[in-house]
Amino acid sequence: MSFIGKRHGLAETPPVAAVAANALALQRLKETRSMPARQLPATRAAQGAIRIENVSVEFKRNGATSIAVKDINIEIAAGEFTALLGPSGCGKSTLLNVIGGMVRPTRGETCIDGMAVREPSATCGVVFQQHSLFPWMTALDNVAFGPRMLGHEAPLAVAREFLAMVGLEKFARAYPAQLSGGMQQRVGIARALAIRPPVLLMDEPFGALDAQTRSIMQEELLKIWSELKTTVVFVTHDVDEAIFLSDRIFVMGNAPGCIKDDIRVGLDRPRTPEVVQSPGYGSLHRRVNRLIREESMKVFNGTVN
Amino acid sequence: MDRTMQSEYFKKALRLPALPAWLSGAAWMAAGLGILALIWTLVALRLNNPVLLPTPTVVLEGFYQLFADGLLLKDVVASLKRVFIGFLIASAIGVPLAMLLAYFVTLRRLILPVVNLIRPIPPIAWIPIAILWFGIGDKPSFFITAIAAFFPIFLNSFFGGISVEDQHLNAARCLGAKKVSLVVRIMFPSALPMIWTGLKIGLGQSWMAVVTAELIAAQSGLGYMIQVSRLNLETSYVLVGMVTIGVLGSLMALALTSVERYVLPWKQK
Ligand SMILES: Nc1ncnc2c1ncn2[C@@H]1O[C@H](COP(=O)(O)OP(=O)(O)OP(=O)(O)O)[C@@H](O)[C@H]1O
Ligand SMILES: [Mg+2]
Repeated sequence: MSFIGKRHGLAETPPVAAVAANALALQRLKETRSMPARQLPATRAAQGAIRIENVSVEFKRNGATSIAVKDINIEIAAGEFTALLGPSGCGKSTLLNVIGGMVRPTRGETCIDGMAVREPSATCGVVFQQHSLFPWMTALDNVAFGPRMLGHEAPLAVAREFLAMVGLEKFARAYPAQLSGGMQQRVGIARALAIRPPVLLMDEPFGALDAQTRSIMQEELLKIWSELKTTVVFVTHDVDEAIFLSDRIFVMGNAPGCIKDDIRVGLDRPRTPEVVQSPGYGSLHRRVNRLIREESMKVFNGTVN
Repeated sequence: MDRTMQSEYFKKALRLPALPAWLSGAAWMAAGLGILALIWTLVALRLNNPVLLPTPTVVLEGFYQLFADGLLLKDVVASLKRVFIGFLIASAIGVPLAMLLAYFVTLRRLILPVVNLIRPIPPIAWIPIAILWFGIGDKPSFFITAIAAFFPIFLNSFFGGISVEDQHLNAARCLGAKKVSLVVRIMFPSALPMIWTGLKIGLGQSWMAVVTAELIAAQSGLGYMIQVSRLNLETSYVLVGMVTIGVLGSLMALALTSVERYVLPWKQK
């Protein structure tokens, strides 16, 4: 048993299940490779449905238990773009990590397409907040890592395709340390997408970027998503970002972390930055903002520890 | 042209062409060695006793004799062989073992205390048992050089291994990596800078240990040569041996440093 698994309280899954999961992932990767988006098989659309049932996560800190998130119940349809929005410390990352299998819930269960999540696997592509690229690999090798692990016969070709998708084919041979923060984040996105995961989990992926780059990246992400049609769970604390990107926003509250509201964003797609001027935007923004402000004030006024 | 620009201009015009970095480095080294040789000569002349301290010229002469005779080269080759084989054995065991212990907790709990118990025993204390087990010659020396190199290699690799970032492991898992890949493709390369440090230290330790081993447990090599020369009161040969050991040790360290950029390409600026 590995210490890493232990540290996260993960149980080992039997190798048989792991092998089966990988075989499935590879099959998916082959099926959809270099196939134009519009011709994706119909079954594809049914992948990536997430169900979170009564999930609570407790952390032990110096002997005391603190509840990070409590009694979360969410269902996300396959192909949906959802945002987790909430003030700092409300458990967004924790919930995202539960979906990805990086954190084991104390109670409750998460299922993706009916299969219980027990450990991180190729079902979920994850884009971390920062510094998750492998520094010893070039950008190309970073992106090729997933296809390689899944036994794809031409991992480098797949990697080139996805690097091109994020506009970085010229930087294939660069090491992460030689790239800017925004470029690293794009490589991270390409790497997560290169295995065509049914679910894409993104933890404040654009948090460290300047406003312009951020806006461009948001549009790029929507373009890519509209091609690949994966389910996206996008963590952010930026109201505009959440509205611009999502079909649905889960507003999270504090102490312990919970879902305060589930808001449908009815704005038309494809979206451009001009969406701000569309009729529904203002009222939606005010509504979400009010919710977030309430929660943030609670923390600020000390009603919450 | 204002004043500062003017003075810059003249400075540039008057300056001697700058030496390339390696040349100026070599010049400084030559100067340092020159000072050492000077002091050595003065002390030797003052003592006036070649058994206690022969002058550098006498040592150079001795070097030439041993070299021309082919004896020196034979001893150098014998010592180098012992170092490299011992070093290879230590690396072949130390690095994989460190990776396994870094990844598997159960194994670590079992083996790490044993390693910690053996670690304080200096290589020289192993010599008697090495002679009992392996006799006199190459084999006990392989054993001693391997022991000496093992601990720096193992410990550095181990700490490199356990400091692998969780985020990298999780990212790899989400890309389909399983145990073997996690160890070989994530833990190992992320520990490689520290493994490399361990290898550098290990090679140095191994080189020091070979001389110790040969003083007692061998009938060839630089250590043996020093020992025999001492018994014959051939102090100049003793010093030839010592200088050779110093020079070769430095060259090995230099060689490892110079290939570093190929081993750790992502660490280069
Ligand atoms: N490994 C851990 N050990 C102990 N407590 C933790 C751990 N991870 C998170 N927590 C706690 O759980 C709570 C939620 O943390 P989480 O990182 O999920 O918040 P977040 O919403 O992502 O915040 P941010 O927007 O600042 O990233 C916090 O109170 C935090 O202190
Ligand atoms: Mg977070």
